[in-house]
Amino acid sequence: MRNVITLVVREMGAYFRSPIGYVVPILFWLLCGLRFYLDMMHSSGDLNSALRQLMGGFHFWLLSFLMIPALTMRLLAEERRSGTLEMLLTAPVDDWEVVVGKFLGAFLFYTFLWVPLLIYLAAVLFLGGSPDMGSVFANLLGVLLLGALFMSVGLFCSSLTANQIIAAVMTAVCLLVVSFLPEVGRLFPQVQWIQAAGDYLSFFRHFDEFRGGVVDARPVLYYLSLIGFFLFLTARSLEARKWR
Amino acid sequence: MIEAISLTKRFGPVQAVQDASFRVEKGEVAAFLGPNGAGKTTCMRILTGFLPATGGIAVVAGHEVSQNTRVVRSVLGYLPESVPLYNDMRVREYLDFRARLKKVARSRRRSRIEEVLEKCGLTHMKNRLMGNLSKGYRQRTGLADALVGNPEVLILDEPTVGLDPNQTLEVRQLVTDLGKERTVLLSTHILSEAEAVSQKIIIINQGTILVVDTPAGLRRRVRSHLPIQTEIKGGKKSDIVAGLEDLKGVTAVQQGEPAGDDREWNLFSLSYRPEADPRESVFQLAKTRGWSVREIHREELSLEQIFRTLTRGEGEGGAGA
Repeated sequence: MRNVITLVVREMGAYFRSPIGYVVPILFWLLCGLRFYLDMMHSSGDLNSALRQLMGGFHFWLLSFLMIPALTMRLLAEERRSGTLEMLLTAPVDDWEVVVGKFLGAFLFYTFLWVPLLIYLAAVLFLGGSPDMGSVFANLLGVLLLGALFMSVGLFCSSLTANQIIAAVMTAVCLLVVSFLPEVGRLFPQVQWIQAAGDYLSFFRHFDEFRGGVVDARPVLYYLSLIGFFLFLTARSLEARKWR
Repeated sequence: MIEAISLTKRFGPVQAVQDASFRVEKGEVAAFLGPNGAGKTTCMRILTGFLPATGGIAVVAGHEVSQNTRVVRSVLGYLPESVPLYNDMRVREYLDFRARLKKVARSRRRSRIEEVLEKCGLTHMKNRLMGNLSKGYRQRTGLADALVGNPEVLILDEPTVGLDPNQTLEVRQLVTDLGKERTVLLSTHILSEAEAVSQKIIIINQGTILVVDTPAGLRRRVRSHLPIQTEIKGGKKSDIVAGLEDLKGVTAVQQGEPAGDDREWNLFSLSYRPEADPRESVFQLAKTRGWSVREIHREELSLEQIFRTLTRGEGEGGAGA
């Protein structure tokens, strides 16, 4: 466990030492701020609707699909390219500790991106607004779980190659393909189970459950188990050096 | 202690290491000597647990590597060949990260890091970004990393590559000191380096271990195969050849062209029986016949010659340098 903490600290540090750790947050905050401002203006101050747009509107998805591959592409691909993976895996750490450390480091950075939201909320409360706090936090939980899932996919893709660009493209493609699953179900309207499976595997539907303001154990479990699955795949992919 | 018992490694159809067995005791420095691609790095990676062997057993500090990888890694300091480092970190910061991974107790961490910085001559570089370090300083940082956990066993893959002559001497001295109470296995393709630092030389070529011997033993094995070169003038070529061939112990004389335009000088290369050293009698011969001699020397022991000799077997002579 201490290894994991050491690795998380290094990973977080690595974000702040690279330009990506500045470019991504600045763009993200600018776009989110603009979006929130415009929504507030257009919906004549409907705070809850603006918050829902911020955490699940068109721009939210666009940013997630673009930003997360950019944040995860470096994680293992860079270690593989520069050979530091050999240093890391010959230190007394287990493969899974490396995987979990990398994942948590990346996830904490993603969480950090959402910190300004709390500042918006504080400002709104201070100005006398009354956001639906339960719904906001349920939505935020969904956002974090979705981000974690995307990052576990990104981490896995990053473990497959020594090229960061390939890792990023692969991550984006994987996410897009999965996002089409419900549509695949709709291609076979007469086969009930394909449609059900497509719907079930889609992260959209589970995400929407959070957006309704309800925290149900099922979607939480859906995300956690998929995250676990991708972390497991990543650990296996690190181990794959041994089969070659 | 390091022990390899008929280690074998295949990468698909490529046989990287074949049936390699050797042993390095505590308090001993052993050098893995071989040309590039001989299987040195693969052997070392197996010993560190980074790669599993296809067959055979690797034991480090009493633990079977494939069974107790984690334990083995905690008693091991490893310097990989190209010294991969995080270019975005600073030297001291990196060593702190590595010391944490290697479970150096918090109370001792700071002093331990200062100690290895000092030992590796890095103290004045500790706040540099590793991406800006020269090759020599990268090498030292890698070495400092290998040492920071105070490991019982050190595996150093080409520790002096890219260093200038002074740094090379410093690192060799460091390795010699470390070898006094630890087990050290290092790899090199420079024979003089292996001779200078190690008590045991393991020669490997094309994945197969050719010989494991002390530096002195190795020299004994190979010396008799090293031709003697001499440059003589003043007599007729055929007379000189005949005279040299009559010397005790000489088995063959070959003629060569001396360097440069000195047409009056003749170059001869002598092969001789293992127990003989005809250098002195060459001089005496020239003295009695009134010839001039400007060079008599035995070829330096070179890696190529060792390979040629060892792969050819003992029986044949070493003519034709």
